[in-house]
Amino acid sequence: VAEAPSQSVSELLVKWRAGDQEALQVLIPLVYSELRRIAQHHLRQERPDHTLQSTALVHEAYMRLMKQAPSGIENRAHFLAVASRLMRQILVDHARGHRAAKRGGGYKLELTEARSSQPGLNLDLVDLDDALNELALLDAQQARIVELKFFGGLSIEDTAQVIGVSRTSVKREWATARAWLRREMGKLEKR
Amino acid sequence: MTPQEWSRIKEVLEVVLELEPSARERYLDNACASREVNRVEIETLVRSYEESGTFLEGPVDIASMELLQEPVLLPWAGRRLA
Repeated sequence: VAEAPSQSVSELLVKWRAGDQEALQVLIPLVYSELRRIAQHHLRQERPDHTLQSTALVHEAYMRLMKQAPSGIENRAHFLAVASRLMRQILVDHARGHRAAKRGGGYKLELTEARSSQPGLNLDLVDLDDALNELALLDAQQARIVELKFFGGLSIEDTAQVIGVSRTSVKREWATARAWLRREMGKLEKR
Repeated sequence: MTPQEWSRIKEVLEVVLELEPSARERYLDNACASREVNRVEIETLVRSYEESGTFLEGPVDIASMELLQEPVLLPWAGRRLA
């Protein structure tokens, strides 16, 4: 993510909190564009309904953001953390709702993991959410790294900035988190 | 597992994952003995990592969800957005 907008989002948030309503007018499109970047990150294939899905996801994220005391957002790093959390909530809520709706039919929804080199390897978002909550009990910061990188679609670099640690730390935490989550989700599947 | 146990396991696991497979055994012999880390824990985690492929490396495929068009959750879905 470019450096210039990062400063302006932080500055605008400060101005907005200080009561500058014009700052909000400038802020909204920037917030939308960040949310759109995250939504588009999760769109893998070209399909005609993609624009709608991406737009719907951005709208839902924006609505939830506005509900959850947006004036409490301190800077861009904080915003990215909140946006990643929101994306996780929305995607998991939808997956959970779909799973509940389909339970009667004996059909378990599994979301296809993008860019998978192993066809048929599916990712169950509800199981991932449960496993991530377990990981947060062991290491809250490590769970945040997963949330930012996976649900927020942030790079190693941006994740390091948001958390305030080195890129090397993020890479190590990411590697051990993947090992742990993978093992944990294997246990969940066997239940 | 406690947070303290996980922290100790992570210290060893981080190193193991960066080592060549041939060097791992020897490192584990020393590290697990001196740090009171359960070797079986580390070994199952290394196996999970080896099998993980692209696990969590790609985005969530929201295109396959087809959930964002549910009218109850998203009243604006399907409408033309100005």
